[in-house]
Amino acid sequence: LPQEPFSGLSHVQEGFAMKSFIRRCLPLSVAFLATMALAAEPPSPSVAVTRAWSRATVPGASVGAAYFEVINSGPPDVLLAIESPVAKHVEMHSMTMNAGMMQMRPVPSVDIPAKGRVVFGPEGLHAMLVDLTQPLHEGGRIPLTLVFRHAGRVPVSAVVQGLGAMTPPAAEGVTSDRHS
Amino acid sequence: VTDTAKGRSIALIVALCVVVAAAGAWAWRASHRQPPVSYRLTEWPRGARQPSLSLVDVDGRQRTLADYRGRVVVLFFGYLRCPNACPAELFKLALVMKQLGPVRDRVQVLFVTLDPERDTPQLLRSYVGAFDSTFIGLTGTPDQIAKAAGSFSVAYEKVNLGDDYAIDHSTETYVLDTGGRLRLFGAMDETVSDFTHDLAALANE
Repeated sequence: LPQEPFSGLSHVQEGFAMKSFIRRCLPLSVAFLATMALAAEPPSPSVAVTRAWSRATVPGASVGAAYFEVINSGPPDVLLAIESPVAKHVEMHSMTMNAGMMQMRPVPSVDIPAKGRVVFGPEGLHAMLVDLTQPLHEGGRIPLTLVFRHAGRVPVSAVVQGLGAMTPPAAEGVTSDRHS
Repeated sequence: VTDTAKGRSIALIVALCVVVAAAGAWAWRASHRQPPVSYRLTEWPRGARQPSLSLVDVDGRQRTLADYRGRVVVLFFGYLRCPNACPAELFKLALVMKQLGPVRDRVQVLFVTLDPERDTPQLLRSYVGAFDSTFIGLTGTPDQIAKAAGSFSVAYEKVNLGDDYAIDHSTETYVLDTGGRLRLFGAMDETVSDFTHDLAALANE
């Protein structure tokens, strides 16, 4: 009797093979299809860039600065680079005070924590617009493109504020409320 | 009884007159006494070493502090490729000049570059002039600038970053009186009204 299963050996083997194939490949197929379905949709907009602003520059100034807030509602991401047509290149800099000296250092990338917020501002991390191709005039807007490892390219328009501006422009909601 | 009451009233009126007269005299004296100015910036210790400088203006003329005697001198060290601190401080000083009104004629702002290599006289002129047309830019050889900075206890350091460089620097603003003596120094977070108050006091000394 123990020999019996072997009587139709090829058939049983086929059965096993089919079961094994389904067992091994079904999850893979599902995963593959799910991936395809996700890939077909645009990347989830988990990273938003807001309150972008810059400061007017005077003639003779070859550099400018830009500031913004990155709000991440999704998984961790990394800000890899910033691009702008108004400068030859854009560097991300940290600003620290060390032994009474103000120090600026380029940072190669900036980690954006999951469900976190990173603020670029005059007293810390900032984007330095190096070798401006044009002076920045108060009231204008300059395009910036932030390049994230996962979220990809996120374009934003920065408001150029006055020469002495040290804080972001008033929130748009507040401004419209004031005018209504 | 009536006489006593009358006497009391007269005594009371006399006493009141004496009090009012005394208060008036005290108020008159107080208003005519010169109270010592309490400065809002930090005072340079009296008797401490006095700084000096020998630099070159944007027209190529040799300049020392003696050239600005008779005016309150406000001195800031920085460089043009500084995106935050330098424009912020110069902008603040430009607002101070507006607040000073006619007293501004007795105040001179000087901006000393710590980056003579890149900050040419032409760039320096248009840069400082854009904040206020009376602001003067000073430059010099690296050695002259190092001596001037050292004399004012300004710390700075050129830091190589690949094919570029940055300049770390301290960010105090120095104020000298009309006799050319260093009297005060201010930090970046000291306000327009703090500077206006102190510069007006020194200009009116």
